[in-house]
Amino acid sequence: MLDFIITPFVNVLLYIYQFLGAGINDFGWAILIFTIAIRLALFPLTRSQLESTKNMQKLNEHPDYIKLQKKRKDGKITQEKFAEEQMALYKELGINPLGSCLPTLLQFPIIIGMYWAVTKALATSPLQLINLIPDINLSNASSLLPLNSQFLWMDLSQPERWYGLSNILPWEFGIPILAILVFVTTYFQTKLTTPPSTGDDQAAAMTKMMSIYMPLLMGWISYTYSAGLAVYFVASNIVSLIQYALMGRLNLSNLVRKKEPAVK
Amino acid sequence: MKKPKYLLFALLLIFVGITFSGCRGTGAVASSWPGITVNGETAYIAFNASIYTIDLTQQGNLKRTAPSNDKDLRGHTFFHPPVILDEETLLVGSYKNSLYKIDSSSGQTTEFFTHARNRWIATPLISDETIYAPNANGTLYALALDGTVKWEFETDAAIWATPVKDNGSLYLVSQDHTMYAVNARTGDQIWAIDLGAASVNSPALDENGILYIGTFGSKVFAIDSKTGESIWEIETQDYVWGSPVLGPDSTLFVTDLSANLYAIDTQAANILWQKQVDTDTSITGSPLLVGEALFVITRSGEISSYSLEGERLWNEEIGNEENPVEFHGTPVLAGEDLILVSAAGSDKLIYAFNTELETQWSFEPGN
Repeated sequence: MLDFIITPFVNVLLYIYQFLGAGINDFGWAILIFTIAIRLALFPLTRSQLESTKNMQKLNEHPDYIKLQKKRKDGKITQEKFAEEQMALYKELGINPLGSCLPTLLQFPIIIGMYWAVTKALATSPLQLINLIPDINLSNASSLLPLNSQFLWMDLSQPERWYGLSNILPWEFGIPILAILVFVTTYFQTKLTTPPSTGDDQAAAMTKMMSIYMPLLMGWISYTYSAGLAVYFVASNIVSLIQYALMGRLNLSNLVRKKEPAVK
Repeated sequence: MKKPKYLLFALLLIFVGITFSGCRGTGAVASSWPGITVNGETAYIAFNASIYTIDLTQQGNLKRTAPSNDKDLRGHTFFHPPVILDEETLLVGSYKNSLYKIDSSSGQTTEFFTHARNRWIATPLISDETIYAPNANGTLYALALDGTVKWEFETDAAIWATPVKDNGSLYLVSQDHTMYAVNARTGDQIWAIDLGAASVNSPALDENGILYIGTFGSKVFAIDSKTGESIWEIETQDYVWGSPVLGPDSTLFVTDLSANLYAIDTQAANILWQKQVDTDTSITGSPLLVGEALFVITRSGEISSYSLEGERLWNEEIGNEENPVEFHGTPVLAGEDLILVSAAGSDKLIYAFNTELETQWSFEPGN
């Protein structure tokens, strides 16, 4: 479905890999370089999304909007009337209601395409390699195959485990360092890039759920799938955090939030 | 408050499921095609997490499925054809890095070798009470029949091809672009030759000690098995995936990923004839030589037979746009005239044809 994105991405990844020398560690660096490049290319969309989120927060705090919400809650206006007046308020404040979700929607296929490009390029089974070969548009493709999937201590085509403690421990135990890194960076990314709660209980609950389940889910995927994906997740999370930090949008209060006093 | 929480979590799971299954209709995406081993009137089919035993005299009826015990092999993928260790035991390796022994009469499955940290894609070779098992970690393991390691031979990339053994030497092709000759008793390297590109097929060895191998560099090499020196090389139109097959009168038959079938005169080092079986498809297996006919299958679900002079004899197409079926690997001969073909992309794992390419039956695990 996303072949129009995945195929060019595979070729860019392979081109970077070839440019770096197609040797040991080079596919890992190719993933890192391409992830950073993609994140930088998507930066205008990220910024526009953040601006829209900020505007929406302003709207949530606007006295007219608070009144409007109260009226709807109390049943003083119909849902249609509420929507009508909300639109009027959007116009008045110059807010595009799709402004925060449209950039996200545009980023989505690119980020998923990147995930699939990494998976496809690693081609760890015969069927995957057969599917990869016709999509390579580089002149000397045959000399590049198979990709050297070694990166630092990892085989990028395999779920990552570090066996450095096996000499000390009485049994062989592989520590999933990358999966842990993915969990930690996803946790910080979810926590630090989520806008402060506007007092909406439902939204706050959803945010809390996301900050718990998303890191678990991404950590589990990294534990199970090839290390190349985990490298992509970690790089993507870190670049995203740096981008937010540079824009001054890291929401540190989410990390050190004090317990709110009980309402009497 | 609980409903939105559960709703969000369910949506998150659905999203991740769709994303990681490639936006296909089903989450389960086949990553292999079935491996077939024939033993008399029985065939063993390795596919996903199961080994199916089918009766070739009963239209491919399913006799049993392994594992039959509590051994949970969910998530495993068996790819290479099961190897017959002895009358009662099969050996098969999975994508989850373990080699398993399977009792062929009961379906009982036991772990045999678990020290490799990568996939088992190549079929192990059994000779002189030794199992020569190449792993995708680039290592060829020589194992005793009790699973202990006799020696290991390391290469720089994955090995997907079974080694060939002759007079105490093993001839091994790794994806590190190299063919190796290895002492079968000690595991010491005898020679190595750079092929210039990866290869995933086993070499063919003729009676004069000449090895023939095809590569992703779209070349077929003839190599002296004694010295490891290249005698000649011939260019093909596309990558060679399947192993070359030796025929009568010093003829070598080769296929490539543009669905070409070649007959090469190994003495004169030239192409006798070349036929493109079909356009817009590929051939990933070797040709099967039965008597005076060659059988080739294409990814588009077509099986064709050719005379040794390159004339097309019979042709049957199973796959079409409405019912896509992919044929992969090398057709397998059962008995004198039954040809078994591995299918991917459909519920049916095996199609059986006679030598005139009339469909005899097909095998679907659920039925």
